[in-house]
Amino acid sequence: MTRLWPGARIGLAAGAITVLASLIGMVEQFAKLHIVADALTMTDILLVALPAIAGALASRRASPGGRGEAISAALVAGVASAVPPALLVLVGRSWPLQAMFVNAGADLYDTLLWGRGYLALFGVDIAAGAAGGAVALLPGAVRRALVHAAVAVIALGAMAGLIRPILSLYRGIDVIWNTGTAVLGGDGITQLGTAVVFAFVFVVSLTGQPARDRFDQWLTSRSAAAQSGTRTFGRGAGVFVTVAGLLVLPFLIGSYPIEIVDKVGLFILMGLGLNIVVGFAGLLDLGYVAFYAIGAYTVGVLTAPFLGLELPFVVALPVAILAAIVAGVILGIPVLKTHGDYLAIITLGFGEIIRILAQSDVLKSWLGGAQGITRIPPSFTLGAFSLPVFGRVDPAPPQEVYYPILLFCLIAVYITWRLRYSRLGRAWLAVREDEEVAAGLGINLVGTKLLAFATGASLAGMSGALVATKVGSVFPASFGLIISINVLVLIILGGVGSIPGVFVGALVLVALPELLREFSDFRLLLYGAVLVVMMLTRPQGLWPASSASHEEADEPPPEPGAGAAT
Amino acid sequence: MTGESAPPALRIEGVTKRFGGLTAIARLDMVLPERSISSVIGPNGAGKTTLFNCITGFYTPEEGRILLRGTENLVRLRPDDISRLGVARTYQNIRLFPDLTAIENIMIGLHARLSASLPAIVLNTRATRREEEFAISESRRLLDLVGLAGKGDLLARNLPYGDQRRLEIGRALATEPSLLLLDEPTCGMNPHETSEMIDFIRRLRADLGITICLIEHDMRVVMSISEQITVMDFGQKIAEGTPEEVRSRPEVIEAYLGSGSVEACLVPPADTAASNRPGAPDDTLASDDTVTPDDTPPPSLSPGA
Amino acid sequence: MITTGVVLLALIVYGSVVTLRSGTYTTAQWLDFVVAGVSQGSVYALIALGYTLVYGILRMINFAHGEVFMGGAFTTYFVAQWLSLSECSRQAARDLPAGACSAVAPLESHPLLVLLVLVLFSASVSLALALVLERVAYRPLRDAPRLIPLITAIGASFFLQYTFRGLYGSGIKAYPRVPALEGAIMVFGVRILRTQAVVIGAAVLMMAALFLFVQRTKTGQAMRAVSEDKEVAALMGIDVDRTIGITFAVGGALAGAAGVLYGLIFGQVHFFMGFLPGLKAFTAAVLGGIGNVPGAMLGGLFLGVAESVGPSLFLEGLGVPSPHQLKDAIAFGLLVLVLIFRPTGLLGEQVSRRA
Repeated sequence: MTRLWPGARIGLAAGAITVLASLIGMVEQFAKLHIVADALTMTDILLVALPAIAGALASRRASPGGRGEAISAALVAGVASAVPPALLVLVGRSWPLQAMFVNAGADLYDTLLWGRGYLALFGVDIAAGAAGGAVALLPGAVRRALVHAAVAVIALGAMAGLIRPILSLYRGIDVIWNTGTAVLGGDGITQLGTAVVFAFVFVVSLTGQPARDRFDQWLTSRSAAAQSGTRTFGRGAGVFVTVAGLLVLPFLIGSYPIEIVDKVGLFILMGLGLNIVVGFAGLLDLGYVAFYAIGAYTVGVLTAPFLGLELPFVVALPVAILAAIVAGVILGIPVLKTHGDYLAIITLGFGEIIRILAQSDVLKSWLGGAQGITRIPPSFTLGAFSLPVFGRVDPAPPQEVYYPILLFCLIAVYITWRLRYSRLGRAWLAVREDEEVAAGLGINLVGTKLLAFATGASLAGMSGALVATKVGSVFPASFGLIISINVLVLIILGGVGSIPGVFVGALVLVALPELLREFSDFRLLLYGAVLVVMMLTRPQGLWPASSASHEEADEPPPEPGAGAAT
Repeated sequence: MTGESAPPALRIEGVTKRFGGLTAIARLDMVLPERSISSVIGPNGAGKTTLFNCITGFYTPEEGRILLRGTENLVRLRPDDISRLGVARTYQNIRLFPDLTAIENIMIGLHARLSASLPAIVLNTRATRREEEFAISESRRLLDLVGLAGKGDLLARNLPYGDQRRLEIGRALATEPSLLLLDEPTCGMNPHETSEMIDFIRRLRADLGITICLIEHDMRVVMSISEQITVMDFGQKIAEGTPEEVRSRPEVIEAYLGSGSVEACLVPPADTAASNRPGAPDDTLASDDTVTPDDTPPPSLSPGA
Repeated sequence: MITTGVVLLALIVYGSVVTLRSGTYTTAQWLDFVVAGVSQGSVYALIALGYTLVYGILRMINFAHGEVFMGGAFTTYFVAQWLSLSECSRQAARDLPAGACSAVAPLESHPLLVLLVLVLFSASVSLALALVLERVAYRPLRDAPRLIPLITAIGASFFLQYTFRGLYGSGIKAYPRVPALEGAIMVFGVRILRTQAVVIGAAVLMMAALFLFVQRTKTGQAMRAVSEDKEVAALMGIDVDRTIGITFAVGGALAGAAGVLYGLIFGQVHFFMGFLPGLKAFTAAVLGGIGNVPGAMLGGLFLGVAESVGPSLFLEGLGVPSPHQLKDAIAFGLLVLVLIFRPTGLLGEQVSRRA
C-alpha cells in the first residue's frame, strides 16, 4: 500500500488541479477553443494532459524500481487523478453547489464525465496516465521530440484563429492559400494538418541536434578565414532579413495582428526600462506605472484640445520623456535609503497616490479627473501608397503607430545594451549584488541608483507617450498597479536583467493572451501562478542574463538575441 | 624603511565605537607608518573587523579621529569618498560579486578611475571606447598580478577558494589604493598557499609602495610578515610593537590562552561555530540585504555571516 | 527631507484649524467620525497583526495576507447567507412542501451565536489558506535572497484573487443584514452604532487574547524566540517549522475574523476586497513598528481614525474639493511618510537585525 502512495499522491494532486480548474471556469471556457477542428478542444487537451503529466511524473519517480514499477505507478496516478473530479460530480449532483461555486453546473459535470459517465472519466484518466508513464520511459531525444510535436500541434491549433486572417491576405497566391487552408480548417488545425505538423516537427526535433552538430563540424573543418567569413555573412544576412522583415511586417500580417505587435512593443519598451531598475540595479519598483502615466498624460495635455495647447507630437514627446525623468528623480530621492521590501511598498504607494490624484477632482481642470483626456491626435500618419505584390495599400492606424513604436524599441534596446556593458552598467550590477561593497569600491550609491530610476523612468515615459497617441485618450483607470505588475512579471519570466529576456517575456505574456481570447479571463491568475512557479523553479528566467565575456578587446560583445551569452 | 618625517599612512586617535549598550572599540590609538606592513590580532570579537569598518566608513565612530596621511579625517565621510581617497579592503568572508566574472569583478574596482558618463556611454564616444579598452587591459594586468591570468571569464563563484581570495585582492588593488586593509587573507589556506600569500603581500608593498594592514589569526603569517603588531581584546589595545616585543607579553598570552593560534579564522561559509565569547558585538558588516548566490549555504549564526 | 515634513505638517495643522473654526461639523459629528474610525481601525489592526507576526518571524512581507483576509470573508458569505434564511424560506426555495418550519432565521434568533459561528468559520478558512501559502510558496524559499519571496508573495496574491473570482464570481456580494444589530447605543454620551460596538468589542477581545498568547504561553515564547534568532531557537530544541506554521495560522485566523467584521461594517464582499485593506493594514503594522504586536494594534487604530477624520478635518479646510475621494491617498501618504522618515515605526521595531 505504501508503495502505491507516491503515485497516488501525484494523481490526487492532478485531480485536485482539475477540480480547481473546473470550479474557476477554465474547463468550460477552454471548450470554446478548438485545437483540432471538429475533434479536439482545449478542454479535451487539459483533461487528458493533467493525468498524463501525473502519470509521467509518477513513472519517473518509480523508474529506479524498473519498468514494471514505473508503469504501475503511472496507472495508480491515473486512477487517483480521476477521483477528485468524480467526487465533485457526485457531490455536485446531490447538493446545490452552484449557489456557491458559480461554475459548478450540470454542463460542467457532463464535460468532466465526457458526456458518458464515470467509467469514461476513469478510463480516459487511466489511459492518459499510462501513456504519460510510457512516454516518460522513452529515451530522452524521442521523448522531447514527441513533446515538441504535440506542443506544435496545440500551438498551431490555438492560433489558427489568428493565422487565418493573415492567410486571407494572400488569397491571391494559390500555393500559400491552398496549403494554408489544407492545414488550418475553419476553427483550429485540420486532421490532415495535425498529422503533417506532428510528423514534421517530430522528425525535425529528432534530427535537429545531430544535424546542427554535423554543420558545426563542417564549419570548423574549414579554414579560419572561411569560418569567420561564413559567420560574418550569416550574421549580416540575419540582421538584414530581420530589419527588412520588421519594416514590412504590418503589410505582411494585416492590421489585427499588428495591434497585438504594437501592444507587445509598448510592453517591451517598459520592460526594458524596468529591467534597468530591477534587473540591473536591483531596485524593486512597484510604482513603475507612474512614469508611464506621466508620459501619457503629458502628451495628452500638450497635444489634445483639452487645454487648448494642441502642440505637435514631436514637441510633446521630449517634454513627456523629460517629465518622466524628473518624476523619476523626485520619486527616487526619498526612496533611496530604503531597501528590498520597503522599497517595493513605498514605490507602490507612490504609484497609487499618483493614480488617485490623477483621478481626483482636485486636479480635474488640468488632468481631466476620472474622465481623462480625449481626442489625442495620432503621432504619425502614413497615408495610402503602392507596394509590389500587395498593390495599393491604405494603412490602418495600428499599422501606422507601429513605426514609431518600432523606432523607439530599437532605440531603447540600443541604449539598454550600451549601458549594460559600460561603467554604469557594471556599477548597477555591483549595487544590486552587494551595495556596501560597491560603495567601498568608490561607487556613489545615491547617484547610481538615481540614474537607474531616471533611465527606467524615461523609457516608461516614452511608452506612455506612444500609448496616448495610439489609443487617443488617457484615463486614470488605465494606469493602475496592474500595469506595474504586468511589466514585472514580464521581465521575471524572461529573465531579470536579461535584454533578450524582455522580448521573450513580452511575447509570452502580452501576445499569448491577446491571441488566445479564451485565456484572457484567467490572465492575471496565470500571471500569479507564473510568478510563483518561476520563483520556485527557475528564478533566473527563461532567457537568463549572463555575464559578458570580454576576452578579445577587439571583438565587440555579442548582440542581444544572437545567442545565450548576452 | 619608513621615513620618520613622513606623516603616517593612518593615524587612529581615540576612536570609540558603541552599539547600543555595547562598546566594541574603546579609545583606540594606533599608527600605521607609511609603507609598512602591520597586523592587528586578537581573539574573536575583539573588535578588529569593526575597526576596519570604521576606517572604511561603514561605521561611524562616536568619538575620535582617523587621519589619512596626516590630513584627511575619515570619520563621517561616505564610504565611496574614502575609497577615492585611496583606502581599499578585502573582507573576512569574501564578498565578491558571485554571479559576475572575475574580470568584471575587477572592472568594477576600476569604477572611480574611469569617468564615462551616461550620455557619453549612450553615444559611444571615442573617449568612452578608449576608456573601455583601458579598463579591459588594466583588468587583465591586475588578474596577472594576482596570479589569475587567463581565468578572467570564469564566474567568481566558480573559482576555487584561494583564487577567490586573490581576486578580491585584485579588485581592491584596482582602486589604486595607498592603504590596503586585508581581513584574514590567509583564512582557509593550506601552508603552501599561505606562504605564497606572504610573498605576495611583501611583493605588493615592494612594487606598489602601499601601506598594508592585516587582520590575521595565523601566527606564522603575523610573525613573519609584520613590522608592527597591534593586539586587541575587548575593543581595547592591549599591546603593540614588533613581533618579538609582543609575543612574550603576558597580556597577549593570556588573551590567547597560551597557545599559538588557538583562534582559527572562521572559514566562510560552512563554519557555524558561534563566537565563544558571549556578548561579543557583531564583528562584521551587518547587512540584511546581501544577496547570497543560490548555491551557497544561507547566512549563518557566525559573526562571519 | 525635513523641510517636506515640516511643510506637510504645517498644511495639516492649517487645514484643521480652518475646518474647526468654520464649525462645519458639530461635536457629535466629529465623534461619529472618530467612532467610525475606531471600528474600521480595529479591523485594520487585526489584519495588521498577521503582517507583523510573519515579518517578525521571517523578515518578509506576506503580500498575500490581504487575500487570506478576503478568502475567509468571501467564503463565509455563503454561510452567512444560508444562516440568514429561515427554515421556511429554505424549504420554499427547494419546492418542498411546507411542513412545520420555523419562520425565523438563525441570524435573527441568535445573532451573537451566529456571528460567533461565522467568525470561527472565517478564521478557519483563512487559517487554512495561510498554511497552504506557507507550505507551498514560502517554505521552499525561506533562505533565498529577499527579492524572491517578495515576488512569490505578489504572485500568490494575484493568483488567490483571481482564483476566488473564478470560484465565486466577480460580482459584489452583499452580506446579510443583522436585524438585532440595527440602531445605536449611547456610551458615555457618545453615539455608537451597534455594529460598531460589536466590531470593536470583538476586536479588543481577540487582540487581548493574542497578547496573552504571545506573552504567556509556551508556543508564544517559541514564536518570540524564533523571531529573535532562528538558529539559536532551533538549537534550544524549538521546532522552527512548526512554530512558523503556527504563526501563519494565527495571523490567518485573525485576518479571517477581521473579514467577518469587515462584512458587518461595509456590508459587502468581493474578490478584490483584500487589496486596499491589506495595504492599509500593512501601513498600520509599519506605523506601529513592524514586528511589534502592540504597535500593530495601535497603528491600526490610528490609521482608521486618521482615514475617517482626516478628509473632513484638514483636506476640507485646505479647500480640496470632494476630499473623501482622497481618503485612500491619506493612507498611502502615511505609508510613504512613515517608511521614509521613520521606518522603525512610532513605537520602534522589536525586530533585532539579523547578523
